[in-house]
Amino acid sequence: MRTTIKENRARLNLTQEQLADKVGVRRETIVFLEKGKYNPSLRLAHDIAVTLGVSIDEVFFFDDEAGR
Amino acid sequence: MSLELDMAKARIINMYLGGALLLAGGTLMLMNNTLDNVLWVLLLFGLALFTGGLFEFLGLSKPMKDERIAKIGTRAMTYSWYIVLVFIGFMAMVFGMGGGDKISMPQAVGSVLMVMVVSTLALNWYLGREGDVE
Repeated sequence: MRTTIKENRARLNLTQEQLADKVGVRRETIVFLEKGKYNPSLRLAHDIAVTLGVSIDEVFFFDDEAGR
Repeated sequence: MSLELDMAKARIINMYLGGALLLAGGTLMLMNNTLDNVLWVLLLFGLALFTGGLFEFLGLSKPMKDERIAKIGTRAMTYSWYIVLVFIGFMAMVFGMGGGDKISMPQAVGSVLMVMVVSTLALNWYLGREGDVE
């Protein structure tokens, strides 16, 4: 899985800690999300997308989607 | 909120301390084959500390609530419970049947305490390395 969390965070000048606080998780979870190593719940994915001001499919991509 | 967070972090640190006390108590019970008053108080204190911060450690309670930590933690606890079940069954087989080797109550309880604490913490660390469990 790939994400654009880091790029969107940079666009909004948000730190990992600030994003974590806004969506109610620990900073380490944001780190693993950005590395594409954690598969979040739909609720968390939604909260992150809303916080970043984009839709879910603009933030999360699965590897099998990349080649489409 | 910050004070609440600091308290939760302190409880997690206390949980590790409680785990160390339980391990020390378990080792003493196993080695000395005894459960005297001092050791009993040590175990009670260790248990209070360990259980007091366990839910924060597992990401199950606020303000440390976190779905990833909770997912990993509950999986680790499931495996830990399974290991303890197998361990107790193994002890029942070895020490209960055949009538050869015997184990005393303090030794049995001490060894189970050690397996519970070590398996919980070790599995939580092991499963958490990659950031997720499938």
